[in-house]
Amino acid sequence: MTTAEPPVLEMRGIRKAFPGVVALDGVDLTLHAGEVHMLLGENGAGKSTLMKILSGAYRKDAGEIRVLGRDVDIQSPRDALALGIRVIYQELNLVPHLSVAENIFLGAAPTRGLGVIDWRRLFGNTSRLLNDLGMDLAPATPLHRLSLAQRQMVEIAKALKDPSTGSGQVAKILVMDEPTSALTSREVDRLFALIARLIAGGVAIVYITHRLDEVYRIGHRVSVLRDGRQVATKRLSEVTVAELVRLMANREVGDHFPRQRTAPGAELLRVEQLGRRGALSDISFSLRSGEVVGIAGLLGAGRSELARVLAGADRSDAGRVVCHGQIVKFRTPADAIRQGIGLLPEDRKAEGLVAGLTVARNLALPHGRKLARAGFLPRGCEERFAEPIVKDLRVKATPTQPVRLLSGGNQQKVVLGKWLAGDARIFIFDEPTRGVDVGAKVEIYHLINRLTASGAGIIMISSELPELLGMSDRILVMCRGRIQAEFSAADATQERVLSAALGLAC
Amino acid sequence: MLRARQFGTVIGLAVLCAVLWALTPHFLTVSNLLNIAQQTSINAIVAVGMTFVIISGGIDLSVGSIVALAGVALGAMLQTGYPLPVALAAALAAGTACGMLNGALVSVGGLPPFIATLGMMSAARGTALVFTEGRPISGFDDGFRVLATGSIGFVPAPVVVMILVYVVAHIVLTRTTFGRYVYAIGGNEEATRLSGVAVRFHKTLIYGTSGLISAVAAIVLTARLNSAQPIAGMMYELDAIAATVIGGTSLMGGQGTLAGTLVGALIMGVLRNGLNLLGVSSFLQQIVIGVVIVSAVLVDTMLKRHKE
Amino acid sequence: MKTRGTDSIMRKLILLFVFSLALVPLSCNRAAPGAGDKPTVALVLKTLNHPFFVDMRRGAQEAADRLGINLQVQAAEREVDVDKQMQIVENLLQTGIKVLVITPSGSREIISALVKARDAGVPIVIVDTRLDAKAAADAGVHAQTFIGSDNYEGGRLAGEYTVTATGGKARVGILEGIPGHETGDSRLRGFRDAMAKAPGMTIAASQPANWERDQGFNVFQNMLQAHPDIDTVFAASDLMALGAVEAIAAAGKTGKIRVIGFDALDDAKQAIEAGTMAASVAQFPYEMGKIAVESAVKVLAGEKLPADIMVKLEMVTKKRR
Repeated sequence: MTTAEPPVLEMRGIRKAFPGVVALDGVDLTLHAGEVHMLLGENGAGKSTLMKILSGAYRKDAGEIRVLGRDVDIQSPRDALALGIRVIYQELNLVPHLSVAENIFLGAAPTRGLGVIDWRRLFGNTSRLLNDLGMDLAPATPLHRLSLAQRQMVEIAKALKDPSTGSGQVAKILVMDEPTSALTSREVDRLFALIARLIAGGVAIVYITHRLDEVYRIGHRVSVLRDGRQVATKRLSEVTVAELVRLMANREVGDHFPRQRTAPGAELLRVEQLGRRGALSDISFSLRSGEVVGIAGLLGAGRSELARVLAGADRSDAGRVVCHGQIVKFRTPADAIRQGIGLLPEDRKAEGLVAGLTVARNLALPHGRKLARAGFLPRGCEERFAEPIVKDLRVKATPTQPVRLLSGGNQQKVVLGKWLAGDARIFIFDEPTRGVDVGAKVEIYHLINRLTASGAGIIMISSELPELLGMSDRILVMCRGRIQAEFSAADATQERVLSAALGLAC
Repeated sequence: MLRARQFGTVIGLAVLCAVLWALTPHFLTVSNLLNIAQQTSINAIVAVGMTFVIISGGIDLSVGSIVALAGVALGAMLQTGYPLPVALAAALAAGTACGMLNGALVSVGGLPPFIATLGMMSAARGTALVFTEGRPISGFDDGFRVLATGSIGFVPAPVVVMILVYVVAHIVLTRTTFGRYVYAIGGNEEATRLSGVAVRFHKTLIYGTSGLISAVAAIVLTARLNSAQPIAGMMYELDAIAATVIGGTSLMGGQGTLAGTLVGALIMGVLRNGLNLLGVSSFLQQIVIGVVIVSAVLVDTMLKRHKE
Repeated sequence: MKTRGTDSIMRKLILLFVFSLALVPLSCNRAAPGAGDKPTVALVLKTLNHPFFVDMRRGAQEAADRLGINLQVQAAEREVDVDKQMQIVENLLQTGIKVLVITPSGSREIISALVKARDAGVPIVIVDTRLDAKAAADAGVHAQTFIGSDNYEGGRLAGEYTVTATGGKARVGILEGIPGHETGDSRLRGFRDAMAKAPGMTIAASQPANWERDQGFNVFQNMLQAHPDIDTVFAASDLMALGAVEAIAAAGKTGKIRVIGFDALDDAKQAIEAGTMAASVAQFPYEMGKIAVESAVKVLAGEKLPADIMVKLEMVTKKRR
């Protein structure tokens, strides 16, 4: 990394306001050739907004941007592309039924006139590009046959291609937004090898992540944003993990998993030989008051399917559920809710929230009957209902804002809040901290403590083993729709849980 | 955001009126404005039910046929000599029943709304034709016809009915749990179901509401024509969808307002009236109406994209 | 910046509306109301997508040009849309027309719009389809005159022709118009009455095809399936008759089934020359339109008109032409 040349990118005093919120307030960012610059911050801190300004998706209200020492005015994504700025978003924008080559050169495929694709050149250019980038992919493979990590590689190749020659390396600045969120550790290794190759070739990378271990593995410098302001920019050799967490959250997160265990009370829920064709078989366990039962397992092990059956979203076809000592049969979610079961679904956007409705109306959705007088909702009753929940959960929003405008962590709090005001005693949390920033994570852990202290029972599904080990009183490990093993908090280790989840002997 | 979108539609209506005012002296007269209100009333009423359905993420193609069926039921009852309240109740019940059947096919039967209501569109029309053997039922006494010919002050009766329907429907849509569920179901049906809302039941009610409101329109139409025609109400579904969409309700569901729909219906009514006043040929009228519908929605889409 | 963007959107919105309305003056052709001091006569047709009414309009326009009056022609998109026709009448009354000439889409339903014309002091001339006499009398609506051909008479004419042409022995299929329409009902009554007088004639089937060509095709195709022995078909309009001609061709029975239509449209006359149709009852819509406008001018001059002005009817067949 040389500092004698002018920086590849300088952003100075960037400001951007949306109606009612200042998203960015005087943020600076400098990027040198061959540097991996980590961008940290809680959800809603302004990272995405900053990158959208860089990529031309938003226009800044104030501030200046220099690329290679020259003032530039980025008005549109096209301008950003021309300046060699490439962004790889979390959601991949690829067409599943086209080949790797067609995806990479989508809309820029070499033609022989009249729009007839020159397939030989297309495949030739693609193999050269993949070779340059050290990617081991066949250009003709249809995309839907690739793993998630391989698709990510395709997306990167697509971002780095030079449409005229087909070779890579025209990109000067590459932004990667949480590229590892869906990757296995082997795949992460391959991605990092690619990043090393790119920076050796002089590309500058902005890397957004929530995973602090990655920050130290590949980053050179780090910038931390909080509430739209720049809190710090430091060399990673000069800052500790604890400092970073404090900078992001502005509060000490001393204990990562602050579980306060309480003595379990009466049995709330018992499941006996529960089954659902093609998803679950022979599931038996119980949940007691004051207890957190963690459920571990790989993707597709049947964890979310179990959660949905217990919440009445799907029906079981074998076994039975005993709730508060009585056999119950759930035909609809409403039946489960009546038994005091609240579900925090895995996919909060698709299952947890009505994005267009306000915070208050989402919170009040399960409680319509209670709030209404003869079917009529008194003016402002939902807002009055929501006010204390919003305050209690420290949701950074007013009750009248549409939830669509909230950050991931705040949206998750709204989903949680839907059940807190009701009579729920049994909570099913499916991946409660996925896509949630550090500060909100800790708040959710504290909430779990509070709920168990007041006598509720919690079933927690999580793919983050440390979290599961830290917060659960017992851990069930699922594999292929069955419960493979059960551990007490004391006996559970990452290795034992993982080998059970993989279906190995335990 | 909603306010901004409606603002756009209101401006559209104002511009339209201004242009017509400049082009013809016959447009801006009290009697012509009352005419427009009266001519708009039936489409505006039908569009209320359509707005409920579209906000909930569905579509109802059967409203025109339900208008015919409910009208025929009303006409037959009146002609057989049943008292007016009984006949009115029968018409409303017929419309509601058709709508609920739509709703049950969609929610319990799992049919796409387009298909379920397409079937009802044909079946209800056929029922009306079979029932009347294709002949209109005409000639009612003045006690009933007052619904079309009467007025309160200077406001004609159909307009009074329209205003009542909008006021009641607006309260239902904004101030009741049912109204809230209409938006919630359209915004995210699965999340609403997981919140414990009886989605199937409410969907059935939503389509039932659309049928009920179509029957109200049928009553006004029958009084206006002094005849219940089994072929009445053809293409009403398209006019109602147009009014709803011009009014800013998203066909994707989850958002929309009745105020917008009323403005949408007025835009269509004013446009048709103005084109008649100007003596535009009926072929060209169709082109102009098509252009206005598309441009109104185009502007709406652009506004929305801009806000993102 | 936000506001600037919104402004430009608003500008675009206004532009779009103005743009689409620019079509309006372009299309205000000669019929623009209030142009000059000539009195305006309104001609409200059932529809303009039927050759019958297009001819009527041409005749009316010819008379209007000759007599120096403004003619304003309007029509609903669909022939059966009475509500739309009522709206057109209401709107035209706003523009100060002097006489209303109308072909009612519904002989009872249109009366409430005519009441408004009466109240506005606009005299009414009815063309082609009669008002329901009782309903008109009850509402106190009085038409200056009725101009049309007697549909009953036309039906009878077609029936008598059929009896003669078949030698008094045939199995007949009938294609009806939309049930409940005075025009179609009268034609059918006339035709059936003529049939009843000839004992050898049997009506094998009678089904509505709603005035439309494609429905004429489908309905007659089905009819042939059910009654393969049908050798004669009477359609209450030529469009349906032409549909039946296609169905006969599709069944490979061209020349074996006599087709008698009504209206003598150009297409039908060609079919008669070609021998795929036997005959059609000619009405003279051009004549009707012309007489209608001439009558309107007489009304303006204060002349009294006879209650009915009948326009001639004629059987069009190959040998007679």
